[in-house]
Amino acid sequence: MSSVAHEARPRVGSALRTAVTDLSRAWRPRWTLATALWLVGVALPLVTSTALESRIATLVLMGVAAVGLNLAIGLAAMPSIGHGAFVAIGAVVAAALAVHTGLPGPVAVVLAIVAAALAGAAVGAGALRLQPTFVAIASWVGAWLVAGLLDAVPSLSGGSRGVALPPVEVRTGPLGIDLAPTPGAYQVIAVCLLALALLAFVSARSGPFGLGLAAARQNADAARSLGLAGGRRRLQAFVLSAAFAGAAGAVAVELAGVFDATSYGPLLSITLFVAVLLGRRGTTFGPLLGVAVLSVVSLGGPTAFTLSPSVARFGQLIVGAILLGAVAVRRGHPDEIETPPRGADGTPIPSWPSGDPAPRAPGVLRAESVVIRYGGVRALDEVHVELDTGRIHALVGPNGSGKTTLLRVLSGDLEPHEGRVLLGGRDVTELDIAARVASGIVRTNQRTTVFDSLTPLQHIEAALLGARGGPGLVRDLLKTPSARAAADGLRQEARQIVERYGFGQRPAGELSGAEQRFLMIAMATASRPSFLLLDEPSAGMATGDKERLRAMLQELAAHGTGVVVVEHDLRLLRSIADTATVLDAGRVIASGAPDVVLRDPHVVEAYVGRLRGPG
Amino acid sequence: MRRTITALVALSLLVFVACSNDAGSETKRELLIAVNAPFSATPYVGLGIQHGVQLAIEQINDAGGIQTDDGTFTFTMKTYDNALSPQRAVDNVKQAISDGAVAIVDEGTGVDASWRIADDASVPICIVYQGGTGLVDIQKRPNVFRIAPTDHGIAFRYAEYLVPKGYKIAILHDDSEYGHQGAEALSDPFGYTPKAVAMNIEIPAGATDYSPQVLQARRSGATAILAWGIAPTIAQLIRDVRGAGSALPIYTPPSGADPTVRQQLADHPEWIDGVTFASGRMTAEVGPGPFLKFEHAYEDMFGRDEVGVSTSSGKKVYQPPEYPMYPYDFTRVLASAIEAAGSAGGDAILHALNEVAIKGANGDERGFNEKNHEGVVDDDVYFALFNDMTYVPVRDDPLSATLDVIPQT
Repeated sequence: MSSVAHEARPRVGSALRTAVTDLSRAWRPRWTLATALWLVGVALPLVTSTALESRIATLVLMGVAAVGLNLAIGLAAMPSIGHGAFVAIGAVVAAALAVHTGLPGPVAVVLAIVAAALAGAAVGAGALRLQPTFVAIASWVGAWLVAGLLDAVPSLSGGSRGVALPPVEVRTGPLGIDLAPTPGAYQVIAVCLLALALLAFVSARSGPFGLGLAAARQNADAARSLGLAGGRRRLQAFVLSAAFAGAAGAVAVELAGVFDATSYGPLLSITLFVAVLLGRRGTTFGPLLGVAVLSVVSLGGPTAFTLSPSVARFGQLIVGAILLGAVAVRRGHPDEIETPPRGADGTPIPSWPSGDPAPRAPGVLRAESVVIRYGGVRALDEVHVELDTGRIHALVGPNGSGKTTLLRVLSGDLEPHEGRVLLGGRDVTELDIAARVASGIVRTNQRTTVFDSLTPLQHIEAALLGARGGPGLVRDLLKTPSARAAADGLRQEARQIVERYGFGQRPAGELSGAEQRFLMIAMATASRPSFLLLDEPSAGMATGDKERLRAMLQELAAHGTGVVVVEHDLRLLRSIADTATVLDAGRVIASGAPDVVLRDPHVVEAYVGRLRGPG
Repeated sequence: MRRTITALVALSLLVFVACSNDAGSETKRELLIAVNAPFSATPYVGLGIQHGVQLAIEQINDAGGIQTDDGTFTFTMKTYDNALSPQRAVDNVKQAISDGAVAIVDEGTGVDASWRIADDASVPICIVYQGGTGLVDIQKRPNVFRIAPTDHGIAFRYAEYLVPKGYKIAILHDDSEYGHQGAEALSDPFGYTPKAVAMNIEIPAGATDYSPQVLQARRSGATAILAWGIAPTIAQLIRDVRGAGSALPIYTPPSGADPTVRQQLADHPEWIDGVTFASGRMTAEVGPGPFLKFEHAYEDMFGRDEVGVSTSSGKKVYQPPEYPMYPYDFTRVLASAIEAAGSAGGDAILHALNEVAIKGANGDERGFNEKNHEGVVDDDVYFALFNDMTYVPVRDDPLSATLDVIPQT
């Protein structure tokens, strides 16, 4: 026992030292400013009056809700105009628990947060499949539903009289000391909660979790093809966002001592939304700036300053004007995922290890009697193909023959109406893209699909994340040792790949078309898939680039990856393909060695002939 | 990013400046009375309270202020708009205490939560408009006082006035705080006489059409309507009852006397004729003299409060300062308490408020004691009915029949 403790001590010390070192390396001037502001916020009760403390605390809690909303809008790309409802849920649950059950204030707050998070999970799950515009509309309707519910159940909301809370007391138990939080104490609590929200935002954005969200946000198609659909991550971000909103509401209602439904109406949702847009969504401190500006001019929800009625009546008008202005300016998403420094610790990036590891799931990828129907048209008609690892297989055929459809079936993007897909003898027909990626089947899109503002390193990290999964929101937020180790490993591996391909550190949006295509292939191969499905990889490439592509694909095959290529450049195909399958009108019309197959009269008629034919 | 940081720093500095200005209030010879009322939501109520306090302050200060052992004090006043929101009302009380208020004259919204904050600071709150049951509780809320007719008193007076008439009454209360409090108060006396109640329903406050509820009332066999709600509710309900061709007698709480009701019915002045409201009597046993004197002083300072309508002969109608009388009286009670306490300390004032009484604006005695924080007794509730846009005390109620008519044109 003692030896275990003895061994554990240096480990803890080492971890702490590492954390401090990491922190000092990652420290930015703005964090000094943020820390200073936090200290000012905590110290303010020493110099402010009770009323001002209440107002500042209320304002800070608005900031907490806005930072929370930024998680949903800025990271998860779910533009909620109904987050005031989560604030309301937090507030009304905390009030109801305090009044009807007599639970201690902190316990009521925790339960209120849970209630808001559950509501967030319900709304978020429903909104995941919606386009952003409809997310906004649905959440706005949700805000009105909650307002209507509170209006319809005065026994819960207290009606226009509100619900007066009993005084909050914090019992320390064994110490026998009962504490009654003052407005100053609430101000400190609010400032700490804000710091927590900001840390959660930064942590969620900067880690693998944020990278996955950024990928899904920037290019949903590309993210999907890498197994980064992002649904789970987006939902988690939305739930976290609702939890912070609920926390703000719960603490606010205890601070106020009364639940007043009119303070948590739909206008609060709009105010939060405008605050995030005004301060620039996706930025760390932007929502706080938005809240500060709105608190001076607005009346949506709690305000920091009291305006005279003659001015106050224009408050909603001003909020509306600001919203229009913010929308008109359309400030783009900054995507503040920081470009990692090249060798952050100053050490050179390690070179590519000698010899690639073998693909993770060697075996045969087989499509059996696959049928896909679009209405009355059979896009694939009893298609049967068998693909081996370590070989390059060409899929050719005229436009509309079913090549891309077959790739979609193989990659899990499309479930066949008939037939099945087997990988190494295992039926994977019903596995979705993410599961196929995890099984070792990765596909690139026909269109160039990269994440414009991410660096190649981040692309590769995202690809690895899609194939292997991340540490999860909680571990990522807390930066646990295992999460840090996973993130470090991911980055290290990604660096090796980037170095090997010779990508620079420029964002993908600044790369040439050919470089972007190579980046797509690098992403697809990052996780050493068993099968790589490429849809017209040489589109737009010059001759030199095609040579590089040819070498790359041959090397991949040599290392055991089965490469399936849909390509119109027959010369390229002849030079690299081991086998070829020709499709026409959804049917396989020839299969075998490329030289033989491509000279088959049926193929010439169906494919080459049409290319030369009129129209 | 740099712009964001700069802006945040600037705002932080602004807050600090605001803090430093706010925190350093020094002891003055002026005592602050805070008026917490719905100036933006129902200006008639808010301004009435403000004017009552203002008039009393003017008279007290002109008379040399308040003499105590600690020296002479004068009153000053600051208004806070609660917009009928409990949370804003609570925030206002916090701010008023920070501003150094020695007392808060309150319309009543949010007192359920604000009394505790004021109690912690030993600041009395006097409610001068809402009459809700439970707002004043001498045991639980020792710092809350009221000078206004209570809903409980109005409800009991209505029961003893209407039940003997043999009416089947349709009670319609709106879902405002005022309406809820009224419904709660009515449930007690009318609970004893369930046969007198044809129906009892809640209606949405400030709606634009109550025709369905009016039809429901008529189908219930009601022979009278007792409507309890905010002024816009009362006005629309009268419109829908009379617009449907019904001549059912309509009874209301004090909100029926709100000028808003008559303004909204100005296109059909005959529809308001015969509508009866209950309120605290303006005149006392000593006759109308004291009230008329108060009214004269009030009008000298603020002018006459126009209702915004005219009689059939074209004369402008004016509202007697009925509700401003209550904050006026409380301010004078407060001054008396400070003088009696010999100090402007919070605890001393609270203690003294239980021991002093003054002659009120209408000649009634106003004051509190350790067992009663209600400044208007239930027996002071009278009934008045409208006729040609003005109102007169009814003649079929013993108390009301003894009261004089206060000129309103």
